[in-house]
Amino acid sequence: MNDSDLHHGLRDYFESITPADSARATALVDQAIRAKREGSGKSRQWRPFVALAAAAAIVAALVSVPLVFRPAVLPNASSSPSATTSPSLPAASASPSPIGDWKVLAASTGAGASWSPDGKWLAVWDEFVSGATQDLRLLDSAGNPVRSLDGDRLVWLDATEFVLSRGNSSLLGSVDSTGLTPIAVTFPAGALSNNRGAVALTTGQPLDPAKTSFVVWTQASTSRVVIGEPEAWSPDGTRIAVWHSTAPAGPLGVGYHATGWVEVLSWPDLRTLGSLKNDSFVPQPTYFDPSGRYLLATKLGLAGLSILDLVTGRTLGPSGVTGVPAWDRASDLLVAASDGSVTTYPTSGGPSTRQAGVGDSVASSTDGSTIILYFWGDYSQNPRTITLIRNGLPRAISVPGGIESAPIIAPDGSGVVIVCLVHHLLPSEETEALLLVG
Amino acid sequence: MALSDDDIAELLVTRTPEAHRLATWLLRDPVAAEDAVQEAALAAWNGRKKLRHADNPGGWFTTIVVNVCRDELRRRARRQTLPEPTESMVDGSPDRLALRDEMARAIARLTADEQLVIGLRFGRDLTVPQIAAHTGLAEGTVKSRLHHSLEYLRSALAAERRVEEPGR
Repeated sequence: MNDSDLHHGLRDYFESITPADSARATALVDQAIRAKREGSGKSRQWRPFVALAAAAAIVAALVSVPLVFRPAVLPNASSSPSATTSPSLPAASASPSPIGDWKVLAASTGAGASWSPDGKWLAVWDEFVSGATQDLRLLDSAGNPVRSLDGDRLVWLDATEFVLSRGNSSLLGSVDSTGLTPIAVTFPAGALSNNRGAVALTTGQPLDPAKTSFVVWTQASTSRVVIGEPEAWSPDGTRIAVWHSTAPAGPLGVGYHATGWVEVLSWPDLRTLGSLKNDSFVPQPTYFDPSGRYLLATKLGLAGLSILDLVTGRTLGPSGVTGVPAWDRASDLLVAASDGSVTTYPTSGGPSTRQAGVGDSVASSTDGSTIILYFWGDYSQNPRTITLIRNGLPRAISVPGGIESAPIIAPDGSGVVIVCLVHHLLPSEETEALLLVG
Repeated sequence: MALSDDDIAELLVTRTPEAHRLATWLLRDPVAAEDAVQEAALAAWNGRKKLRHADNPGGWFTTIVVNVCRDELRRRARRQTLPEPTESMVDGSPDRLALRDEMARAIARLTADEQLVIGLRFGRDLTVPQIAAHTGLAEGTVKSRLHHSLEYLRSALAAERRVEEPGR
């Protein structure tokens, strides 16, 4: 598809969704402004179905309250929640003073970063400069510049080697050398590396989950085509989680929820090791625990999280629990809830523990040694504070703005990059900062 | 000349159809767009002290609509939800419908901010400087987001076609 066809297609698409009538929107605004002027206290004119939705949300909240305050436990765990604090989370009374301990790597929008598997190198990309390619920089773990790279994307193969995408070409590079060697394979966006030389490359129709497939590429060979969408590698790079869509696309491809089942394959023989056959799973989040024994998968909506034990083949709970998940170094599951609490569910079967007021989001390194607790978005506080827990030791760090992207944590937990956004509803400047946290 | 409360109320109401079209292009959902415009109008009303002396009150309101839509797109991205199809999308030849279908899927896979820039460029038909003015982004950033969005859309749509065309 050339530029002209693409532009024409985009304009046709937007023309097709242009509303023919804005009378209802006008009436809503008129009523809302009148209500404001008359001081009726009714700041918004809710439609009946919005009121119904609000009522449904209240009912859902009432139903979910016991789940939040009386956390479910894994099947072989005690049924009584413990009041003790999880060893992987900080005690509420032990919060240290915030420290502005960070270094700005980039202060523009559209920036991103990727750690090398050993956490010694960091690739940072900024807004593109010449109109052709992005500004990619290679930094050391302290954020010091090592080299600039001319390319669009970078995928780490292992601790030192990477593949650089530049337009339709791919170049093999190393942190130890300035030379780049062309290779005859195209790396799509979202190429998934096991950090040990193998990369899952999507080959099917990326827009139709039912037709997605992938191959696993190494410098020595390329695997057979595998049906499904690659989601996660185990930390040791010997297992890959694959999501298979089962939900038909909506009538016009929008408004549908992509759901399906999850399978774990071995690498390099691509043999099935286990699966979560329930068809209600969404592609992400899907994470292996640090040991590679457990796979966390997420069901659509309020259906909750599931854990597949690849040793026993059993599916573990915690049933009905929703939130932002992460693994700690003991392979216990952390779930951050929207009320700002984080609950730890031990896979070993012990009682769950809940820590209130620590964050509505959590992220961890692949090995679970570093955990970040934070509140998503919410520009009401500026500066904000995140909690960095490294090997069990908590540290509060003050950052200059809201966080709307998951932290970028080195697989070994040695480095953390936070993306902060300072944004206001009313017209003003917006700044996005990529921070290397100490 | 400073605007009175009556002037501001009239401006917000008369600008609503345009704002609703803009919000629909950005959110690709006319009902969500109604909520967004209402939220933006209330935000503008609450901030009318600034609006009273704004050089371009209409543009100021438009920027609030853009910001509200940006917030909604980001919330939507976090919830991993996609908009419902709109009725007008069913009009057209099968080929056009298929392309719109692919386009809708592809746009939904862009980041929230990329969706915003694409909507402003190809829905509202704004220039890069105009998009920069309404989003508070640097022109270079707008270009960057357009560049990457179009690159992604092109490759995603091409991939669809490669699989659909027999013999390839």
